[in-house]
Amino acid sequence: MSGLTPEFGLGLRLEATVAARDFDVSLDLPDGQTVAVLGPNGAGKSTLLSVIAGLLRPDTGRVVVNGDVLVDDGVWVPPHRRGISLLAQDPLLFPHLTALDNVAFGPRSAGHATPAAREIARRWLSEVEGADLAVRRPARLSGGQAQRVAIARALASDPRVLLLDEPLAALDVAVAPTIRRMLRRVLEGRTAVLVTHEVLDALTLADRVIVLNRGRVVEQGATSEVLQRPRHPFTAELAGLNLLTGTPTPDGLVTDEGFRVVGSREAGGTAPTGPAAVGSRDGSRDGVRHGVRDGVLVGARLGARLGAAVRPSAIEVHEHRPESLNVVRVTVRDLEPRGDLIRVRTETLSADVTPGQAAALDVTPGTPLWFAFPATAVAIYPL
Amino acid sequence: MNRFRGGFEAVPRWTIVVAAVGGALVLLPLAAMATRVNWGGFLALVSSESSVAALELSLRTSLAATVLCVLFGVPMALVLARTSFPGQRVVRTVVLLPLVLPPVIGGIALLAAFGRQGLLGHTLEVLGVEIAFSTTAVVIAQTFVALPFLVLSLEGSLRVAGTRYEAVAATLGARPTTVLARITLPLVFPALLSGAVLSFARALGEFGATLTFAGSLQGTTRTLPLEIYLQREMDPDAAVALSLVLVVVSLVVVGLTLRTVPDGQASDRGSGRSFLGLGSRSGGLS
Repeated sequence: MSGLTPEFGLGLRLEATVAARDFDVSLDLPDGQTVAVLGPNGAGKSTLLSVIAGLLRPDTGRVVVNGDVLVDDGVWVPPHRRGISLLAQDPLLFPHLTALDNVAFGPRSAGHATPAAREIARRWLSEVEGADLAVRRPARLSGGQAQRVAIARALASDPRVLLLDEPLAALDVAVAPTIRRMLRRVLEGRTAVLVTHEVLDALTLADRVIVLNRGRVVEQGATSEVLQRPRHPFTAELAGLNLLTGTPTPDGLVTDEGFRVVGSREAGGTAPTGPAAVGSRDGSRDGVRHGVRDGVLVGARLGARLGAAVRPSAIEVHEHRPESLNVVRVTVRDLEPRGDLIRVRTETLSADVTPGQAAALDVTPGTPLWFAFPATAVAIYPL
Repeated sequence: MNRFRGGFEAVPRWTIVVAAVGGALVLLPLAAMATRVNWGGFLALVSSESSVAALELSLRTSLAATVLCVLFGVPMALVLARTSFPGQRVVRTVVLLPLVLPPVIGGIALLAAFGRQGLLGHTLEVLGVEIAFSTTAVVIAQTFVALPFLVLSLEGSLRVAGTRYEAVAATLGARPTTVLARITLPLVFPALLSGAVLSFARALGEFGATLTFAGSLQGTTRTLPLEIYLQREMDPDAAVALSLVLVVVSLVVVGLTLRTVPDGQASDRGSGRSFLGLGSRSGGLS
């Protein structure tokens, strides 16, 4: 890990290893920003939150919030003195307390007398449109109501950092959008770490994204950039993109599977990214700064690695080899319903087809097909 | 549970027969004893001076022992359920030992520790404290045998309740002692209550350790079970009458616990969702 910048500034800085979970992550979150943590199950997302909250002691590392060292060699600040509150998927409202007293719990623990604490709690309950829930016990709250009270409770303790662990995952699809809007409002200007499975949460709630896999950060950056130019198959899957990786050719790349992909000068126009974002990625891994400008690779050199993103909906599916610049022979692995389309998955690419097309081509697992896509549908970028 | 009334019952018929025989094994002797009660002289028998003294002593010491069980048992259950340290299994085994140990052995062990010739006997004598064959000894003997009931009941409940609420409370800024008082104990209150009642009942029935360690002095160490045992030789009618009193007291105590804690663990204050897992979810398909 490269050294962290000295901790003068505000925000959250962390580097931590947990050997038992093969976890080795560093994170640098500026004050007032929300970072979304994406990753498959077991990637280390919960471990990250536990380390920040102080519920898990890392084997090595340091955690610094707004210049206060919380964890370091010989330093251990217990959870209750960190000013970091946690909002989980399960609201975990204390079942023996009313909604109001749940929210007042933080202020009371901070030393406010009961009336003052309840006053603060009332304010936060109205902030989440839950003023009328004050006297109810958690057992009498619906899932959405309970999560709103939990949000108020997490904020009422005036945390320096807010941790959110899939806060919308347990909610009805009918309720989730309301809570998402509410979170968007309360996260504005707050330092927060949001663990989620939903790319929509990352898009609507987060300024930045980190993607974890097997206890390591595999991608990070601004949300839009990470989702438009994924480097990791998991991110590509989340972003709904096909990711091909390979080595450069004059007009595109040769994928690791061995087929050529051609991008075009117009790539910026129809590819998943706008031209403005193109070329902004820093390919610092091999020490050469390179990028793509108007679809032309700049500074790419032999041996460099490239990624190519293709939307499944941009792929045409044919029974016989079509005339096209980018043609791939594939075998159908499985089919998956996606709204009113069917996603045809193969070992390399996925394509979205209409049910009519799928029927006409008689697509079933094992069917050999040709996938074709225009050069204009390919976004090529250095990894 | 009667939630499946009239529906499918996953119970083979023969188990009902065997269960009935088992139930009879418990009920029959108690019923038989009730038939032996000399109802005419009942009041006189149970209100004799020695009987009243024994009953009063029993209630007093059992109550004191229950308080001690709660005071020591709550921290013990917390340490066993929430921490891990080398040798924890051994510690748990030893702590629960009085559950299976013949009480007379407990009495001998207590004498070895607190008796005049015991390990701490000299120290206590210097301090002017004499424990053996005093009411204090009765309370200690009762605590010794009753403590595991509270620890066992509470530790299980603490494990089921998990640490998630406590973790949330800590992240909201609550110190560990605040978390214990405002979150942990309220959450496991039903188990604490049933554990305390069980401890009280066990203390009330204590005989062997008390006799060995505290002796049988009327008004000082002769609790109701000791009084009954003594009367059995001299006045069998009084023994039977007093036994009935103890049976009724125990029934009331156990009945109260079951009413307070309907499903064994569940609480009528709980959320019914993740609260104590087992308890409030035991309805399952309801």
